[in-house]
Amino acid sequence: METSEAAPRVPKAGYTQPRWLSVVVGTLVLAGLAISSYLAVVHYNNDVVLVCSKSATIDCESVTTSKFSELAGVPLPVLGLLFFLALGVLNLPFAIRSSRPLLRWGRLACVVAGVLFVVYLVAAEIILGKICLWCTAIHVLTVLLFVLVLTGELRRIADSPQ
Amino acid sequence: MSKSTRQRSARERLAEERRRQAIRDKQRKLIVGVLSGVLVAAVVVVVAVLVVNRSSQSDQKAVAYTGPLAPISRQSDGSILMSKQDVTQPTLEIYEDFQCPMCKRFEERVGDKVKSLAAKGKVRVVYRPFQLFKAPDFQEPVPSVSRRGANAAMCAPADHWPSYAKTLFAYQPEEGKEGFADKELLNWARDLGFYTPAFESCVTGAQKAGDVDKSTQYAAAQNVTGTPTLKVNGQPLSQETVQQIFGDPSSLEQLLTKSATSTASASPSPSASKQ
Repeated sequence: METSEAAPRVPKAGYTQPRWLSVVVGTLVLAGLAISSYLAVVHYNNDVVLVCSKSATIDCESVTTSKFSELAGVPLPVLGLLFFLALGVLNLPFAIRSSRPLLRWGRLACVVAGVLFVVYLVAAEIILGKICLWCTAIHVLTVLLFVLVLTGELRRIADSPQ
Repeated sequence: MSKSTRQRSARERLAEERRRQAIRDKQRKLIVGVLSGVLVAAVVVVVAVLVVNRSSQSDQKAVAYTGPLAPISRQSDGSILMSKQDVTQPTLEIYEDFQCPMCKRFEERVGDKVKSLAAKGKVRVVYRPFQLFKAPDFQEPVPSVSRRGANAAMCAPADHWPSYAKTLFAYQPEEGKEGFADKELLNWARDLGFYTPAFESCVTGAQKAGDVDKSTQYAAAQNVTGTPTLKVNGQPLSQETVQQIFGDPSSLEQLLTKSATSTASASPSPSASKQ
């Protein structure tokens, strides 16, 4: 039996994500959590003012208080908070190392859902004719996370034994 | 290099190339699958947003008043004063309930005329919203609708009164039917551009219920038993006169001019009537 040629690659104990990827994803998730928390606090506490510059098109309050600001009765900042929390958990080292399909697909499903929320809010902003800068920040974070998670998954495929 | 070594090396290269090809195929599949899934779902989301937006708009868009206006302020008792600064007489008080069909008719037929007269400085107008329809004389949901309407009107900023009151009358629920739901009351404020979280709390928490009660007690103390009740300089207009105004809104101007003249001749140095 040949052992050196065409031998199956020895499966690794677990996938190791490049450090830079983990750091960037972690930073973006934390930023998303911070912004979502702030928007959630503003939503529930009238005493907290939403800091946002205001012009004819840039108007955070018009967006965050519009009829699009809730989905099935749940305020979008709360959904954002849940999104970043879930993504944070799914990107913890144990979840990244794991090759369980549930975690891998869960992570992908999470960022895909995030991108769809971005589409929803951008459509709402176009209808309202207003742009919310805080929401835009969340959109950028979400799209970046989508790209990074997809990149991580592509690297995992490249790294996996065939 | 021996022949067998060369063959082994070629096999290895081939195997490695196949392995790389398999990886590329898997990666391509994932990218195409995810991106096409996102694209299709995004189209569905956009269509859903457009459909929901269209259906929620329906015909329930707030009605903005765009005619002439005198300065408007809210008085300490919750009533709305609409008057040019130098006008002291005559004072027209309008007692109204947003669930009252005749008040709706009055707003539709005479509302703009009243505002235009105030803008011309021919009258001081005091709007006194209150809850005429109260339990147990009236069965639910009439009292609740009446109360929610009055509360929301008192929550609205004074300068938005003309448009908000106009909207409340425009979408007055049929007597005995539910209406003036919080969501509608808030959406109208959004349409008119004065929605704030504080306004939402005021509406959903019925924060002006105390003022509605005070206005209702005040109306009762003023012997107001029906709506709309119109008083000029504190004197109630008769049913016939109100009917005449309904039929011919311009008669209100004549009535007010007459009232101003008679007040002026009776009192050479008129003073503002106490509200």
